[in-house]
Amino acid sequence: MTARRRLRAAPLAVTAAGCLALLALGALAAPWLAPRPPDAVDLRVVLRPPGVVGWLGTDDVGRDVLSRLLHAGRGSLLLGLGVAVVSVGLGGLLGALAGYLRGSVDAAVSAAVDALLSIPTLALAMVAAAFVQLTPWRLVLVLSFLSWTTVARLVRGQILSLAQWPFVEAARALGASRPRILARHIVPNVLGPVYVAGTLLVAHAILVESALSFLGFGVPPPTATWGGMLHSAQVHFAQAPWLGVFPGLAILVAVASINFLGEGLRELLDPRGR
Amino acid sequence: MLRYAGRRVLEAGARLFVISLLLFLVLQVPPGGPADIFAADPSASPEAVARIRALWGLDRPVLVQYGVWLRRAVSGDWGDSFSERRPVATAVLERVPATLLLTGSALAFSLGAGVLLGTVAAATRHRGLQGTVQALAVVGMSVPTFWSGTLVLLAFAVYLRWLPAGGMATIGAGFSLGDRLLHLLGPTVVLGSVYVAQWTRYVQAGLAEVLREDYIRTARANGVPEVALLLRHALPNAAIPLVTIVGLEIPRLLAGAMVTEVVFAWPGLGRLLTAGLLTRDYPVAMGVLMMLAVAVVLANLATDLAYRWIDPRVQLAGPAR
Repeated sequence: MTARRRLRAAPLAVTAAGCLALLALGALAAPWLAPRPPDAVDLRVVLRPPGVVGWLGTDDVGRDVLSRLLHAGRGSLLLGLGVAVVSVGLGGLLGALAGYLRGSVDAAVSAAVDALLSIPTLALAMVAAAFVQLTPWRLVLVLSFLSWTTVARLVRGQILSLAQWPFVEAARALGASRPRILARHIVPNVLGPVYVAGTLLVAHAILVESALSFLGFGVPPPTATWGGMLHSAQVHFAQAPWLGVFPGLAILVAVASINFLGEGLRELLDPRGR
Repeated sequence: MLRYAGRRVLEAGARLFVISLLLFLVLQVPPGGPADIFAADPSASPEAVARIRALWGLDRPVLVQYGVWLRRAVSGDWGDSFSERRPVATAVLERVPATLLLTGSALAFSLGAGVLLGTVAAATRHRGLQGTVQALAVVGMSVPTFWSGTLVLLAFAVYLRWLPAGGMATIGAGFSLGDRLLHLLGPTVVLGSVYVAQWTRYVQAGLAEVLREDYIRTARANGVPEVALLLRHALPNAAIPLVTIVGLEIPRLLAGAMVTEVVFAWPGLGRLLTAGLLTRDYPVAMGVLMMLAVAVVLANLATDLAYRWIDPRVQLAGPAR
């Protein structure tokens, strides 16, 4: 009940969830929704503006922009989700080990986190992309390897501070075992912030991937992503702005929706904050 | 303060060492290295490939290579660019001012606008305004700058012709301040606008908190005018947390600058890295990444020290950071 009232008090988060649901639905149902196959070339209708041939126009080889946009959504959204899942797993594990075992494990993890956080993610991702033959799955791994740090730092900090809270001390005094304290008291309290961080990671991953693709370091052509569409739109941008406007808009709406959702989640889980 | 500073400097040095080792391993270990590119050339004899490997020291163990690299790097020799045949240090250092100029002006623009808007939002206590700021902050960090930058170029350089179409100066014309500022305007606004709403939000939240404190009430009771109260008494204290947050955002800001540079043909580190990676120029990539890491570590060091200087309550090794 209170959760529902809080949701109603956050119209932005609800709107964002709606936008995201639409985008995800469009991506999932792309094969049925798309007016034409995404790679169908038609040289009779090259660079037509929106509304004339397709709803969103056609590109330099006559492919339908709307169809490509829907299909590219699959790549971009799945990649964001994949990166978030893998880096939450990796970061959660390493952060928990660092916070729980402390000592040299903590020192090693913290040194790695500090080092990785000192170089812009995008720059490192560019390096990786330049030297590894990228496939979508490898890109997920590369981006996860660069993104786990925030989660690890968060989990480590939470565990370290939770261990000092009176309720944990009370549980220990009452004779609760270590696994029980961990499962009943620590983990549930760590999960909330991790959900929020994970949501924000989806958005960040989509942005980094699209920047990577824009710079020419993305997954090679057969796999379409929004960033990849923007990359190929560059050449014709002045004559055919719709080639770039729509994929960019899709990225903006998706990323903003996910970020709004994350913010909403943060407030839902922690009513004290703000 | 001196002990604190010394400790922080040592930490920064250790961090740079870890980063350099990490970068070296990432750049040297994977296949597809420079010698592999030569080896892929059918006209290259095995002896020629071996000679090149020996010349560049690529035939030695990775850790030995790292030791050699580190000794040279510390003394200022960052190796030679594979494709440009000139010292990496020269190539990297000549790009640093452009990147510093762009990030600096974007930061200044966003901080100026953010502090101004945040103060207004906190002073008026307008709920709608505050909600709008919150929403804009989220939108701001969601905008892909390479997209908004391209749109700005299209609108203001191609259609309206108010702004130059990129670069740092008009080609052929001598240096003039107006020309430089005009070229700087587009990338600054595109990169800076990502952060305006975010800073606004922090300033506003910080001010709202500080304005509830006792010393503000005392000052007000003593008849300090409302504007002076806000600007002289509340704002400096409210701005303290901003120092840390700005420090934390430096890596993202640099990443944003690299992309913005490519869009606006701004001759900075981002374009150097992009070009270097496309030609697999290892030493250049290594040089740029190290330069970025040095910039971030120095910026963090500076914010740590600034924070301590502004707020002497900060202690070394606080509980659970």
